[in-house]
Amino acid sequence: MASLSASLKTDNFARRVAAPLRNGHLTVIVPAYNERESIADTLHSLQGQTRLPEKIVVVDDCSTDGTGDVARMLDVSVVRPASNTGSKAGAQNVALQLIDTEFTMAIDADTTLAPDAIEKLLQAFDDSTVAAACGFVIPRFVNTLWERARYVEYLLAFTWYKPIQDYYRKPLISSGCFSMYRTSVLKQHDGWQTRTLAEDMDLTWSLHEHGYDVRFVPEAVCYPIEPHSFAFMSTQLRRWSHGFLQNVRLHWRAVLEVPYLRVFVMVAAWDAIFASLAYVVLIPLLVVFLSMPVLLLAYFIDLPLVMIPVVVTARKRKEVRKAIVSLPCFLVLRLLNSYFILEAFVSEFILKRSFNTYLKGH
Amino acid sequence: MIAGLPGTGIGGLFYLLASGWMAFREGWSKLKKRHDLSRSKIVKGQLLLGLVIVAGMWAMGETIGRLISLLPTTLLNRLLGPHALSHGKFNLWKTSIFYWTTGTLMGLYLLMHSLRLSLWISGDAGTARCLPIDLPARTSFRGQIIPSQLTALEATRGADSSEQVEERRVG
Repeated sequence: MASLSASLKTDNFARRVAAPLRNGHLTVIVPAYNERESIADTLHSLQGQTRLPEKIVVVDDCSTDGTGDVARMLDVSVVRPASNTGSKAGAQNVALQLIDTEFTMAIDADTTLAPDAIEKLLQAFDDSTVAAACGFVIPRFVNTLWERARYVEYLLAFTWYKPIQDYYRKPLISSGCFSMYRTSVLKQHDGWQTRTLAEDMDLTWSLHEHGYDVRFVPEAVCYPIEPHSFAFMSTQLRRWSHGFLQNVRLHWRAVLEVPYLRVFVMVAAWDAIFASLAYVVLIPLLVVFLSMPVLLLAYFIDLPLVMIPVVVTARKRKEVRKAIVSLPCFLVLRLLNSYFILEAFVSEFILKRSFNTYLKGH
Repeated sequence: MIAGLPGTGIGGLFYLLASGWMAFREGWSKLKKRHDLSRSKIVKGQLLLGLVIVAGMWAMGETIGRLISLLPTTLLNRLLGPHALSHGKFNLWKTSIFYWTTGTLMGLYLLMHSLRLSLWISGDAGTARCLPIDLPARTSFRGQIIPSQLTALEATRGADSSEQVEERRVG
């Protein structure tokens, strides 16, 4: 451990600036649990960056499929805790103890990066008030209904919502799958907290509450593998829904004191609960009891709101056809998402049964 | 991770208003000569997007309204109620929807500040509470591996097994 810690020490800053292809003040953490199938792609993409990190640390969280072996073959540092840490946050914290570089980046072991993603993301830290930065997320595979739905959801969120949040310097989340942090600030906050199921949201809101800036850099693109099946998507949505509401419950008092963030959170929470109620309960009831099937139009009357931002970005990526074909899938995902948010709301706020099992999902 | 339910409810109107407010702020900055070109580019982009969205929503309401109006009157009355598309008005987006959404948004805004005020009066403002999650979480893998990703598997051919490779443990 000591030798690894020593090897992670930073270089002289001037030397790093003089060597543009070697960025010596960044360590990348790759938490991994049974990621043998995808971790090589992640590490290759890190090693092919225009600005290389000084060190890549894979936290093999007691995988049983030989994930650590694959990582070792690719010339990166591998740490393996004595027992499974229980969550992505836990695994990342194991590596954080060993890092003393100026910046720390966390990337999921199923995520690859555009070749200049690190370079672009680092530029956000030219501003000394910035404590965290995140990039544009696009699913790597867009084949199944669920992957297509997530593709549309990401294009919408990262084209329309996130730039507006970023303008006000209050992005709601610095995505856990690919984010960079100022290490000193990260350590001040004791790393990633395990008190909620959405450690990335928890950390982002904590940073806002302490007056730090979080930035969204749309030019820094990452490509995670998204859930491709109903079972997998359900697992992820359940975790996200509970995680969001747990964070609302945990942070609401502090968030109320943060301009703009409080409005973003309020609108997100309101829509999550009441729009979900409308989709899952109210509209079907009205259709049945008022015998007005036309009310089913409510499920897609707002389609332009989704479609226009999606098509704008898809056009830049020359993926318009893929985006348009995928649009109906988003409506299915929205309905499923509504169900899980309601389930989480009832569980967390009414039955007071907090869901605390970190079920792994992409 | 995505928070909540993007693309629905009052969020739609809120982000449209937020893009408008961005333009107002940016215009004000320009007047005060505190102009930032990079921010200005984002503002223009988002404002334009917002305007196209509004136009798209209007066109959607109008198109569906006109399509519905082509249905036989008896079916139309059954679907929408009597006189729903009278006076030649086809657009499904009614101004009342806009008023209701704006009203909800304003109500929420007032509620939020009322909460702030009540916390300030009670001296409880800004204090974070800890979640009662004391139990250690457990990781379990559910789902399937995508078989098309064989790069890693191929790379490991001939590698030592995890038992044979010395593992670095923390602590």
